[in-house]
Amino acid sequence: MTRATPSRFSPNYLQQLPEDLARYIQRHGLDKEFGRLESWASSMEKRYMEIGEWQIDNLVLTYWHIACMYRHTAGAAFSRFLKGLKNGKILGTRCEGCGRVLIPPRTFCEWCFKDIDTWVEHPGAGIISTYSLSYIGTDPRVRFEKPVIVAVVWFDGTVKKANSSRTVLHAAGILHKVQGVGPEEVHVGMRVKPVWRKPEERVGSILDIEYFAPLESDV
Amino acid sequence: MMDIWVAGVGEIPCRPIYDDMDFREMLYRAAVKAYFDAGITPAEVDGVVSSGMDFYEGMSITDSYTPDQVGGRLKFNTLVSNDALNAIIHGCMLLKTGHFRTILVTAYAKASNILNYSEIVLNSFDPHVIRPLTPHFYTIAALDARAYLTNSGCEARDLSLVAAKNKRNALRNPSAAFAENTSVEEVESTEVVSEPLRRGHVAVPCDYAAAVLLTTEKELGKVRVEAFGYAAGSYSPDLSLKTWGQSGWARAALDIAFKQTRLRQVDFVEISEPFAHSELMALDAFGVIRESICKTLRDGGFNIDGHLPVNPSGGCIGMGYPLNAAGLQRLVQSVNLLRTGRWNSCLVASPDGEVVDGGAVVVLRVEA
Ligand SMILES: [Zn+2]
Repeated sequence: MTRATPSRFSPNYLQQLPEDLARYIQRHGLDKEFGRLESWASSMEKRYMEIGEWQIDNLVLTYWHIACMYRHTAGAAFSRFLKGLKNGKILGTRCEGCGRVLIPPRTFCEWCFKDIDTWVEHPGAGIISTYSLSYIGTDPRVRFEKPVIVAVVWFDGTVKKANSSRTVLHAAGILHKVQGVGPEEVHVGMRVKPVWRKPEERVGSILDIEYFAPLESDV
Repeated sequence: MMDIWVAGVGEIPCRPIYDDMDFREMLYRAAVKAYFDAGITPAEVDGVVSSGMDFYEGMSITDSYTPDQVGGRLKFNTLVSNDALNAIIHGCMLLKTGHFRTILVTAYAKASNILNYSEIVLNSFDPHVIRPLTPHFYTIAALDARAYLTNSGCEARDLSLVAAKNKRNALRNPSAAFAENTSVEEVESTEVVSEPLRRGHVAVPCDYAAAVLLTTEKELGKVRVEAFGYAAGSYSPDLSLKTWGQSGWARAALDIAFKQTRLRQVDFVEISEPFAHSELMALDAFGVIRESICKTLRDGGFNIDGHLPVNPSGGCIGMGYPLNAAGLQRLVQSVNLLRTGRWNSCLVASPDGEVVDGGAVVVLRVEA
C-alpha cells in the first residue's frame, strides 16, 4: 500500500495564501501535511487534531485536520482486473447481450441490464482517442515545465460504431499517461501499447502499467 | 389527488462487511431484485433518486456514479444528502408533478469501507466550539438519552428492553445481520460506552443496498404511499440550540403527513433507531400512544404481538445500521411486512443520522 501515489506537497502552494497565514502554517509545520500521501500505518498514528490560533486584526482561524480514512472495496470486477495487472494482464468482460467489451471490467451491463460473466484478456494495444498536454497538477499554482500527456486509450477491436455513421457508441478504453513521444508528435489515432513495471514491482494497481508508449511502427 | 404506489422492492441482506462486492455491484443486485419484484424493466423507469453522503462514501459527488448500476443511464437523476426516507419523499414529489410515471429510489451503505467513522461524525460538528472537545458521537447521543430518561421517567434498563426486543424480532428477518435470541439481562451486562448507553444499545453499522420502485400506475402498485412528511427540528451545528431528549422533527413531520391522510391509527411502526433511545424519543414525539411510552414498553405493547408492534423487522439494532440507507431499509421491511397479510398499515420513520434532529415519515397502506 505504500507506493500507490507519487503526489507530494509543493512549496508553491503557500504562494497563494496571505503571507501571514503562510508563515503561520510553516511555523507549525502544517505545510508538510498538504497533499502528502502517507502509509496507513503512519496516518493512523497521526495526532488526532491540531488546533492553532492565528490572528490578523480581528480574524481568528481554527485549523482542523480532517483525517478521514477509508478502505475502498474494489469489488468482484475491479479486484480481478487489478490482480490481472499484477500479473501483467489486461482483463475485461464481454456482455453476451450487446457484445461490448468492457475494460476496466464490469460484472453487469448498463445497456442490457444483465449480469456479465464472460472474461477476456486483451493484449493491450490500442489508439489514442483523445489526449491533453497537461501543464498543471492538483496543487494550486503548480506548473510543470514539461507537460504530462494524459490520454484515453481505446483498445484494439473493442470499438463499436453506429451502422450508419462514424459515431462511436462504445469502446473499451482507459485513461492513462503517455510517454516516449514528444508533445508535438502525439496525436489522436496514434497507436500505443502499455509499458509495464517489472513483475516484482507490481502491486495490483493501475500504476502497474507505468505508461502507454507509441508502438514502434508509429514512431 | 394522485395516488403513489410502491411497485417493487429489492435489497441485499445487511452484513457487517461485503468484501466481494463494491457499492456498484451491491446496488445492481438490489435493483435487479426490485425490477423483478415490480415486473418491469429499466426501460419503464423515468428517473432515479438516491440518498448519499460523500463523507460516508469517501468520494466526492457520488451521485454521478448512481445511474449505471440501477438502470438509470441517460435518465433523470438526483440525490438527496439526507436519510434515504427523504429520497423516497423526493421520489413521491417528482411523481406528483405528473411528469414522471415511475421513479426508482436507491441507497446503500458501505460502512465497512470507513476506518474511522466516529471522526467522520465528529466533522459534522462546529470546528470552533465542539470539535476541539472531541466528543464521541455516542456521548452526544448519551446526552440525549439521559435527557430523555429524565423527562419521560423511563429508566436506563428500558433501553435494554428496546434492544432485546429488536434483536429478537430480527430472528425472523433473513436480511438482519445482528439477530440474537437475547435477554434484557444480557443487554444489561454489555459494557457501558457512555452513560447511560451500553454497547448493546447501539446499532452497529453495516453494509447494505436497497432499491424501491415508486409508481403512479395502480396496476403495478403493491402498497400505497398514503402520506409523507419531513421536518428539521431545533438544531444548530454547535448544539447550543438543540432540544436535548426530544425528537423535535418527529411530530412536525407527522403533522405534515396528517394533512394528506385521515388515517390516525396504524398497525405497526418501523423507525430507524441508531440507539435504543432514538426509538423511544420518536415514539414519544409522535404521540401515537396514549399511555406512557415506558409503561407500554414494559407491558410488551411494542412487541411483535403487542397492540402497536415497533420495529417488527428488528430495526437497526437487530438488522445493522446502514447509515443514510436506514430509511430505505425501514421502508423495504415495512413493504415486506405489509405483504405478509398480517397488517394493513404502518408508519415508517427515519431520523437524518445518529444525533441529528431532523427526519422523515411515510405512511404506507395496503388496500383492504
Ligand atoms: Zn450489454
